Amino acid sequence: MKHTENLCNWACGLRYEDIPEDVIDKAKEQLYSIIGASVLGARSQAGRAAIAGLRAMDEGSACAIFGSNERASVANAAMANSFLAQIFEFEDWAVYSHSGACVVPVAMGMSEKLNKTGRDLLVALVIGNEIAGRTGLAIQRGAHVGNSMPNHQADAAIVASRLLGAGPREMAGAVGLSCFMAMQPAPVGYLTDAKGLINAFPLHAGITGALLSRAGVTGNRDVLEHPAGYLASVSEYLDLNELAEGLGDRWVLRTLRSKLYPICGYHISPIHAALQIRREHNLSADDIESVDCYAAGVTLYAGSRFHTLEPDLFTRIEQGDATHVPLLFDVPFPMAAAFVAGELTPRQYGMDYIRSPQVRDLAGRIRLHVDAEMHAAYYRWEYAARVVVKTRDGRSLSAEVSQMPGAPGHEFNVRAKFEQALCSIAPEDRVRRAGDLIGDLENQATVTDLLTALRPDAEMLCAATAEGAGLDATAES
Amino acid sequence: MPGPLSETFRELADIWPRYSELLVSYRLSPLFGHDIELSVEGGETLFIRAEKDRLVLSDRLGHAPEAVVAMSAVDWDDVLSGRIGIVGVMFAGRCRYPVHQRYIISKLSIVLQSLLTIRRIPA
Repeated sequence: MKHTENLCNWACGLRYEDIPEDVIDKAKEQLYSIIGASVLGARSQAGRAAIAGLRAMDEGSACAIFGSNERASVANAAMANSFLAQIFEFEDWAVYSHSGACVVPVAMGMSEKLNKTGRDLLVALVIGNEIAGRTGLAIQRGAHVGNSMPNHQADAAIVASRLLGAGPREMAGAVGLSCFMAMQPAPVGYLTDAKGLINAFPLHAGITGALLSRAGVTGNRDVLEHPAGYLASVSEYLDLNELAEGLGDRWVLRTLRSKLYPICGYHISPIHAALQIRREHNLSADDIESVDCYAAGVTLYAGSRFHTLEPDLFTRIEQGDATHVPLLFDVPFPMAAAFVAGELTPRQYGMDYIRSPQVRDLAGRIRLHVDAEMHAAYYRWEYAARVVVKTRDGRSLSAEVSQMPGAPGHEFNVRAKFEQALCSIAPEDRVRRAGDLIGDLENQATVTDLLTALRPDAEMLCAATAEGAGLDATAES
Repeated sequence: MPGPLSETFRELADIWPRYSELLVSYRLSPLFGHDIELSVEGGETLFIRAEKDRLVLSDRLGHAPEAVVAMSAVDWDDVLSGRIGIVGVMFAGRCRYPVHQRYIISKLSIVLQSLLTIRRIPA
């Protein structure tokens, strides 16, 4: 089957009216979540440095960078916004693919640059998720899991091409150009801010591919399915039938999982269970003797992978050789910080918590186990966890979460996540207006009003930036 | 030369039929059917092949393995305790992780660590 051509035909032909209302609602949920995550990311040292770095040789001013008053060319603004959404691991995923931190920055940037309508933006978001979800499924048996899935050069090119008004042939060529240099992450990058670029570089290729194809550069129009093409270059096993399965009928975006906590998605249920125990039993961290956490194998796989570094992770952070990023994939540290603080927000990845003897001591008493049933359930999309706390006075307290908050049917108030992120940099009425504009996006003639509402108040931004200096863990060197 | 690696994997081979279906999902199924060399630097070498209904162990192989996991005895002790996974040693830079073997090693890391921690939970 000519999968690239098939996907591009579908992406070019999709109309707003073809998309079910609940799928449009998911696209709006994704906007709230990703913009909120990006705004928080812009308050981190890494985020501010990334913006400065991308602006250094960019004279452009076409597109907004969220959470800042900086502007850049469309590709660099999208790259910055993707990095910001990723730097606290506070984004989302659909099926297996972390789509939001790629699709949203591309669609927002291109919509602003090309003065597109709210409906154009919504349709592009839906298309991007449907493509990312399906390419993710096609490479599900390869080496990469979760955020590492190397598939976004395809969805980024298709989103950008759709907003450029490309026809199927031009769009397929854009995919071919974008996907030529098939990118895969070097795993060691998860130790530093480099991981923030995981969607950013692929989306830059996607926008570039779309623009080159528009200008007449020819790309391979069969790059997704070809035995020497993109997917075959990034995965040893292919399930190409997934690319066409249920297209336009079984909507991938319905599987969207927005993150309630800034942490690897495998660990959301364990953290939720831990906070539940703390809340229900009015527990303080000092009351805890030990913690046992039971979850799927992937939780242990990701959550213990930085536990044998030499020198250890905390020393590396102090030395400036690692940042807070690996802690976003850990379980003991964020869980201990959550027990201490009663919350898990970007603040818990700051140096105050990293250097806290109380947090580090408790983290050393948190053990991870795999529950075979939970492991099997994970592959049926059930993200379960059980946390058992032994207290110093001899009690055994436990909480079990059968599905993560943010999963379909277990949604949380994602607009509140968005508003909480923005409220420190913009007046309340403007934050509410921005939220209302996303809620009413299908009736917006352009995205300009939304972007105006998202613009930070200069004084508030200055104060928030000073306060947010400890929002992430870049040790002073 | 038998050692901790062989002893632990013999125990895992015994419980493999009970857990393989639960642990090895479709996504992890590329683990099946590959000959993997596990070796302790300066010590024992063991070849394993995971199949749906059995874990095949041997101390020699007539052809080149499709993946090799080689690390120190100290790191193997840590891995076999279930405290860390093979990828943990990889992140520490003490275990090779060739690009064409990653799909096997990453899946082995998940399944092995899972099985080891399940084993230590009292029934």
